[in-house]
Amino acid sequence: MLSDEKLAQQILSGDTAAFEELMNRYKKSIFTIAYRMMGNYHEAEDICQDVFITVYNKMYQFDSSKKLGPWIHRIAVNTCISTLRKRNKVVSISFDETYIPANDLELNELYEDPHLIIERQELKSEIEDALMELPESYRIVLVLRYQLDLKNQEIAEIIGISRENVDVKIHRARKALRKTILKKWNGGELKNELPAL
Amino acid sequence: MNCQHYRDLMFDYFEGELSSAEQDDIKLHLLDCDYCRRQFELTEHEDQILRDTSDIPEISETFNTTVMNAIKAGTGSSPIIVMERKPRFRWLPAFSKATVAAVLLLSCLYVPGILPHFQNSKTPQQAALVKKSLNPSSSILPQDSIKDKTGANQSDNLNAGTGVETQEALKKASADDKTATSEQLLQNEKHPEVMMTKSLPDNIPAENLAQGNVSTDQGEASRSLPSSLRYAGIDNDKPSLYNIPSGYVLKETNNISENQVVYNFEDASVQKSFIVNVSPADPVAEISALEEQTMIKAKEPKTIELDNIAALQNSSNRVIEYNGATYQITVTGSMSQEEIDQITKDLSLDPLSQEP
Repeated sequence: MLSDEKLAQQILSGDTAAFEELMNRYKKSIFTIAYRMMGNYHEAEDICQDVFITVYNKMYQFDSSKKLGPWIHRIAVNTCISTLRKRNKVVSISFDETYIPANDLELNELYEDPHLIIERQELKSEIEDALMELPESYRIVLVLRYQLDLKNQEIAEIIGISRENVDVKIHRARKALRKTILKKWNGGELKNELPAL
Repeated sequence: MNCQHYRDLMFDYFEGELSSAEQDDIKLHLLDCDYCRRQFELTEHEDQILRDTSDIPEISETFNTTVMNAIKAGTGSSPIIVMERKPRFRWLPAFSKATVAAVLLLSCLYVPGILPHFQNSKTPQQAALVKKSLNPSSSILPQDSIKDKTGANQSDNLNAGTGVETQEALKKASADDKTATSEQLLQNEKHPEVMMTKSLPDNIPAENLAQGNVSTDQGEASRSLPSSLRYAGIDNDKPSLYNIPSGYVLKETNNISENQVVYNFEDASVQKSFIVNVSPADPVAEISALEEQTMIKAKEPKTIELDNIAALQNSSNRVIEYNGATYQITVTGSMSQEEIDQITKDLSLDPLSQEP
């Protein structure tokens, strides 16, 4: 399999098949970033398209001595943030409820206590809501760290800050997430009764 | 150690960044402290949920095709082309780019066979609507419209709005010299300072011009004259330019669409030239739609020569009101910005504004 950087060279020579291959490699991760940042399927897909069009148009700016992945993800992050800023409002919507994934009801859930399933789903929903209320800079590091399972060094390359700063940012983002969840629950105090999970 | 110490280590614990001794210490504390245990449980569930991607929907199957189509439609065939073109436009301000695009389109419109199709693409109703929008003052609309073969009124015909004076001048010229070229006819126009070098084909008899009976080079009956005549300053229904700096002559007059005219002036003695783009400042939606149609048609020829307009470096624009309509005037030229600004400031659409 060709490396990303080789693909980039082929794209620059006009090979559209190479660009399609690049899209196949990155569209899932870019869509994940966009979906988690925007919280909406259609907006996420639009952003995903914009990102690949930008990648194609700016490919000549790519420094072939560096890795392509962080460069593409950086474009995705910037596109998401600029789109969010254009909205000029805090995104407070929950994840798309109009789209029901096929695997929404997993088989093992059929054998679990319905009460537990509901509580777990509620907690998930609360955490997702809290995530969407976080500032963009916190949300993006959490998405990159946990949804894309990237190393802090890779996140540093994408965001353009030092690895140490990423460590601090993730730590602060987790704390901010916890604070938001607790505020939702009990006016800033942790409940004595946590959900039975 | 107090609880805060353990909670400070909580995230590192789940990140696997603690030593085994530290982990054991935390586990021991959690056995005794219900509050911290619940905090750790919550963190663990948070961690699982943050990593959970099972609810991420699949991107649509047509995604790749959509992106590829968008790229083909918007950026050409290769990213390398984009790279080569960009620096050449960088020095042009945004409105200059519009003028450059206008000039490029003009070259396309003068390719034989394209113009008649371009003009006939509009229905008479559309043309009438554009006409009305361009010049809302009914007093300057043509009094004697000619009906074309389809029976529709044509306000764009040669005699439309030109007044008796121009018609008589044309007929007189025709009678005096049947071989008179359109350039000679145009010099009889009431604004003799405006010279035109691009004009009608030589094989069109002058009397046919006066009667509006001109065929296109495709052999079909044309409902309107070539755009070079309709906008060449002989048609009072379209704006003419006044207060052009001395020494400059009109080299070319072209229409981009029914409501956009580009005048090209040149002073050969000092080798300077400038382009004036005149269009309604407040076009209605129908005009924009028509422009869009024509832009799409005109985009098809792909020959682009940027070198020809490389000297047009500076631009200036102004909004002029005349006869109840508002026009946007954009001047782009090879001279200094100050000179361009002065030309723009002096330009007028009102013949009465001419200096004695």
